[in-house]
Amino acid sequence: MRILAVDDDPIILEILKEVLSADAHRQISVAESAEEALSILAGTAEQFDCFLLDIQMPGMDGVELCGRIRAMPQYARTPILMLTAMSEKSYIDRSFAAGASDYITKPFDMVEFEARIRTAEQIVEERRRAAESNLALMSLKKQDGTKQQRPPLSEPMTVADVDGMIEPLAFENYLLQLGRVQQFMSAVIAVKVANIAGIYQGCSARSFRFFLEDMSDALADSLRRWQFLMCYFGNGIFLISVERRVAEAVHEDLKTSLPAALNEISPMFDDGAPIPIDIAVGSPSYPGLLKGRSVAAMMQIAMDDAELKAMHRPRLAAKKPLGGMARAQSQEERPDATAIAW
Amino acid sequence: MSIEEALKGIRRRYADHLRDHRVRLSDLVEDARQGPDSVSAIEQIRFRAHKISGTAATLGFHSLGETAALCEQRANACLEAQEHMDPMLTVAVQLIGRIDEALGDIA
Repeated sequence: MRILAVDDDPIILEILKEVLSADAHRQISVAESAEEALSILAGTAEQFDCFLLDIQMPGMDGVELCGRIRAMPQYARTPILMLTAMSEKSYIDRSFAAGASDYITKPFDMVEFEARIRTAEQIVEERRRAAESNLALMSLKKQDGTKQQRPPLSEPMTVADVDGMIEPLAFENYLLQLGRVQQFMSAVIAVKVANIAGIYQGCSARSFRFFLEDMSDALADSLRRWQFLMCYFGNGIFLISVERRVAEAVHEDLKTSLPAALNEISPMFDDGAPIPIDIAVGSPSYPGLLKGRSVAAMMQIAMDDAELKAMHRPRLAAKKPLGGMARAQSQEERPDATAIAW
Repeated sequence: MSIEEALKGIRRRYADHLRDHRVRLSDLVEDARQGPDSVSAIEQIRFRAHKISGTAATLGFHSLGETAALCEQRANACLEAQEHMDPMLTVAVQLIGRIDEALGDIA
């Protein structure tokens, strides 16, 4: 694994080189500034597999560098770990919003640091294998003329270039990183596309991805007044993290803003027919301060609530079953494109 | 060579950085007290305290790291909440003392 570590403190770079090079499979490059890192990236043909970035550096800071790296297509999904003494929530929020995958605070414990690096290595290895098998599959399909396969409905996905949208793993890391007190100040809201199975059936791989992008855009547009981070968790579920004090207001706001945003975007099937969307928005889920509810539990409770609301509402999809991707319905036959349950 | 042995070597090299921090922090404390631009001096104290807090404890100098973190916190309070600089300067002087202790340990 090729790692680029960026820190203006040469001692930290020395420590990183020593700790990381204990594993012979790792190649470590270092830069003492964001500018030097960008120049290394511009001058190398071989890609890096992982980045470690300090935040507070003279000149360009690590958060901006993270955004610049993330904007490069070849590094759109590469693990970026922020390694910093900045533990304030505002830095954590900015880092994840800029595309960070994980956040490690200095001083760091060697054992924990090694565990986080191993997680990043596993991600890199899984993606490499997935890319290889995709390539093999595409080559087979090219031979027999089959269309691109859709990813499984349950698969969490990364939707790029949407404000506040981050990878599912980064979303969980973000909540974990906040610490107990800051977690207590946060809430998670789940938004479920209740008729996702029908939409999935009616879409090609391409139009399903477009649909998820449209949903993400609509959510980002609806949430633009608030500070938030979100991810797509699979099965038609979007998870949104907001501050606890505004969670009820955000929940209320979504009632009007989300249908309006979706109607404006108007997602479509491959044949250009609009996709009817049936949405359930779960109640905000909060961590318990005394019981110490885990991040995973907080996310699960939010998802369960949205799933329950999706199950117990009159189904738009049941009234208007979605046909295959080629089926066209006339506009008169369609109900309102968007319906929402609370 | 084990990581622990490698860290010992880094600790020895860190001593040079600590000596530099010590000299600069002593000057900056004086500048903050008497100089024409105390804000700039406090900003530089904050920057150095921030750097020390991130590195020192990673190398095993825990009390140095904790004092540096406190100094950074107090400098933030001066710069952002316009609190009086005296409590911050007291911690900055303690920080210089902690640096001396760490240098003693390394030696």
